[in-house]
Formats: sequence, structure tokens, C-alpha cells
Amino acid sequence: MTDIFGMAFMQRAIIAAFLSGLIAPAIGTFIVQRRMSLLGDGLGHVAISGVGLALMLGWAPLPVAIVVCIIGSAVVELLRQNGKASGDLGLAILFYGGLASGVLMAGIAGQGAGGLSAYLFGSLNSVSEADIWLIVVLAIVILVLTIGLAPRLFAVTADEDYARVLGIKVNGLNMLVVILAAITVTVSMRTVGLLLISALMVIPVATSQQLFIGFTSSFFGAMGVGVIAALGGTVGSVYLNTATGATIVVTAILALGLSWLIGAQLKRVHRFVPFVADHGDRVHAVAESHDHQHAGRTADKVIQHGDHLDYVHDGHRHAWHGDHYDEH
Amino acid sequence: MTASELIDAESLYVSIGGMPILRDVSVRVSPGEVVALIGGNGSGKSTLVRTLMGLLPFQSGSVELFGTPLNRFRQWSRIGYVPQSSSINITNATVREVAASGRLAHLRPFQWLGRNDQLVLDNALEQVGLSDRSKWPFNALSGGQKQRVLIARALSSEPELLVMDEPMAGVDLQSQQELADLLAGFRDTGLGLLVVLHERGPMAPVIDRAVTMCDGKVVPADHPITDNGLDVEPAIPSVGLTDPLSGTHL
Repeated sequence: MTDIFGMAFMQRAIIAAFLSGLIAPAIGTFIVQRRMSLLGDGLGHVAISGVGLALMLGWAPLPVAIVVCIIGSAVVELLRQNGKASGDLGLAILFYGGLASGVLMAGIAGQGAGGLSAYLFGSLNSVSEADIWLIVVLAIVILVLTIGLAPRLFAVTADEDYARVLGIKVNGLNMLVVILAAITVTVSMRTVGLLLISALMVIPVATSQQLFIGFTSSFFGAMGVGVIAALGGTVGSVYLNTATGATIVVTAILALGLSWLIGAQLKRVHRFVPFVADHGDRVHAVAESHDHQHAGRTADKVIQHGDHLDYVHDGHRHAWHGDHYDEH
Repeated sequence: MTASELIDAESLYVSIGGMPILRDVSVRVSPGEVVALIGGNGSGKSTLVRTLMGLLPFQSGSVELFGTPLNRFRQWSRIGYVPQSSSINITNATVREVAASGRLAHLRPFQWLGRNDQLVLDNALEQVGLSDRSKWPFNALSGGQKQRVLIARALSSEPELLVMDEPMAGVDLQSQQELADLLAGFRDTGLGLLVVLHERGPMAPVIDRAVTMCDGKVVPADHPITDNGLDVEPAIPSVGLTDPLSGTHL
């Protein structure tokens, strides 16, 4: 079984999966921040029509799918920027038009929907030598652009108006994000698959946000989680003999579940004490028999209340007052 | 001395989707001056500020920022814009990271913050009294604190003019007073201020000049409804409650 990892196609698959795990959460961070988590899914559907076109023409699927998906993403973004796709109807037509025309063209090529399934859910032995070079080059381009422009992309996705007043080219950067997302989706179709790649753009980001506070740390954290999920899923799919993409996504979801448990253990509530403004002088009721001392550990939650701390437990907010605890 | 004005807008006409919003509006902010734009909902004060910042197109009139026509103005670091805090869309970022965006006015693409940028950022957070919160998640802050982060973000571009859109919206009374004291301190350092307000409130002693707006027009200074911001007439007439013939309330 270990021999399989020495074979060339397997090494190519692992490199491709590693790069997808790195770039999908990198661009996904900005997609999630813009609250367009399903954009990747839509672009995956557009890429299917590119694959169908390539099968029909007998060309290499990856380059054709990349070009078609870039054009599709640019059209969607232009419609959005001009306010013409205010409803999601236009997007739905484009996305399902992509899926339907892809299946149609694949059918004309004699492949049917079954021939597409390697592209929809990922398949390890489908990464050709020509593919891997294209994937490596495009992944480097995506990494340079997302990491290099991260401060700007953060500013634009957080507050477009403010970014404009800073003199940042907001429309250009928004277009860049969707085009990079389109490239990420198509580059990953051999490993994760077009129907599942969106999960790798979103789930590692959610996982990382459970574990890290702050944009920069969760941005790089998401890339780490993505790599772990992609490599773990690829190796797992060999042993389980399952579709690569499905195994990668299930691994990512398991990581998300784990991060919820760990995130709860980190008890962020104790590190970042919420603030409640003081309400001035008022006589407080004395808390009923209170035979324990609060040191922050026995309380469910600690609140900064004006100039003192309140300790919340069992539905009560207690504050130390001289020789007793008050109800606040 | 028109060239030295921070903002000089002459007879602006702005319409959105065919609806005239601003009619013949002129406004001027001189260096070190605190100008308040006061008016009720729908009076056009936010539209005016967004037009001055180049976020909305205008149909006629002229806007000059620091003596340069708006369409040729590029020195955006001289302006610190503080939009309404509800417009910001943060899922996971620290106070410091949100404020750091302001430094981008001085950075080229692909350039990350350097040592000097960090010092300016420290100073901006210090000025708004949030140094001890710099590693906090932005979303855990109160409304007044969020507003102060957005002010720190604007300050970190080292501006000569602060433009603030309703800084008091969603901020409790005590925090409003703190904000007013903060802005009074900025005025004393020579920073020009254009502030959109619903009412004067705690800002009254800070304001040098108030421009009252109603129905997309500037209310003349000798108009009786200027002294108390609370007395500004509602910009939207009470449609359906007046007799169309006599104009009296039913």
C-alpha cells in the first residue's frame, strides 16, 4: 500500500491537493468576509460548462475550464458592480446555465454526466503532467496576490466606502477577488472537485476563526487548516478507496468540529472581558448567602462593569463590595 | 484665500435615481474649523458628505478638496473619513487591525506596515484611549468604542481634516460626551472637522459653525429653527395626514 505514494501520479495528486489546501482558504478568507460564501459553488458550476466545452472540442479540460470560469466570474462581478444583479436571479441563471450546458456538451462528446464525475468530486489519477505545471504556476500567482495585497483586500472587504476614500481602487480589487476565486476553483477540480471546492474555501476559514482572534492570524491559520484537510483527505481516500474531494471535505468538517471543542476550552470569554457602563450610585441588593470567593474561575463569565468586575454564575451577576457580594 | 480651504463646495445638485436629493448646496470648511452639518432624517446631510468624499456623483456645481477639484484630487491621506459604524463588515479582526487600514493611504500595493506605521498606529489608538484594547476582537466592543476605533483608523492616515458621518448614532449619552471631549481635543491641535449630526447635543460647545439642512437645502443662518438642533423640522412631511386643499392637519 505504501508503494502507491512512490508513483508519479500520486505525487502529482498530493502536490495538487497541498496547493489547493493552501490557496482555497487564502482567497476564501476574503470571500467569507464579503459574505459571499456560496460564490465558489456558483463558480464551480460555471467551470463545469468549461469542462463540457473542452470534452466536446477534444481539448485539455483544465485550461479551457480556467478561461471559461474567469469570463463567468468577471461577468457576475460586473453585473454586481453595476447593480444589475441586485437579486440573485441573474446569478442563478448563470450558474445553472453553466451546469446544464456543461452536461449537455459532455453528452454531445459522448461522455454523459458520468464522464464528468471525476471533475465534480475529484479523482487522484486524473492530474496530468501538463496540469501540474499549470497548477503550480497559478497557485504561486494566487498566493503572491492574496498575501501581498492582504491589507488592501481586508480594507475593501471590511468597509468599501472607507477604502474608496483612502484612494484604493475598490472595483479593481473586488474583480481581482472573484477572478482569483475562479482560478482557485478550476485549479482544484482534479483533486477536490468542482462541486466540493467551495467547502475548502469556507470551512477552514470558519475553523480558523474558532481558534484564532484577529484577521492576520486567522488568515494564515486557515491556510494551515486547509493544508491539513487536503493532505489528510488525499491520503485517507487512498486507504478508504473513496472520492478524494469528498474525503477532503469530510476531513475539513471534522477539523471544524474539533475546533469548536478546542475553542470552547480556550475560554475566550475570560481573555476578552465584555464592558458594561456603570450606572452611577444605586443601592444594590446584597447577594444571598455567598460562601465562596470569586477569582474568575468559579464564574461562568466575567463582565467589566464600570470600574469593577462582575462575576456571572447561576444567572446572577455578583460584584464584591467591601465585605459582601452585591447583586448587579 | 480659496486655495487654503479644506473643503469648498459650491451650489451642488445631486440626484439619486432621478430623485433630487441636494439642491444648490454650498459648504466650506477652513483649516482648524469645526463645522457641523445638522438636520433630520432625509435632510440630505449624509448624501452631502458622501458627495464631498467622491462616493456619489453630482450633477452640477463644484467640489474642491484642499484647493484641488474632486476629480483630480489624489492626496487622500490628508482626509480622515469616519463612516457610520454600522457600515463596517468585520467577521474576525482585532481593534488594531481595523485601525491599521488607515495607514494604507501611505502604503503602495504589496507593501505591509513598517515600523514607522506601527508607531503612528500606536499613537492613534492612544489618542482615542484604546491602547489597552488593541488586541481585542472589534466585534466585542460597545458602540462608542467601535466609533473610537474608526476615529483611530482615520487618525492613522495623519489627516488634516476629519469627516465624520453621524458619530453619535447608536452611542449612549455618556459615551457621546466622551466623544465630544475627544473631538474638542482634536480641534485644539488644529485639525479641521466636518461632523454630520442629528442634533447638537454634547457637541454644542465644540462646534464653530453649524450648517443646518432641511429637504436637501441649506437653511439660511437667520432662520428661526437654527438654535436648538432638536427643533429642526422633520424633512419628510406627514403625508396623508394633511388636507390637500387647505394644507391643514386633519
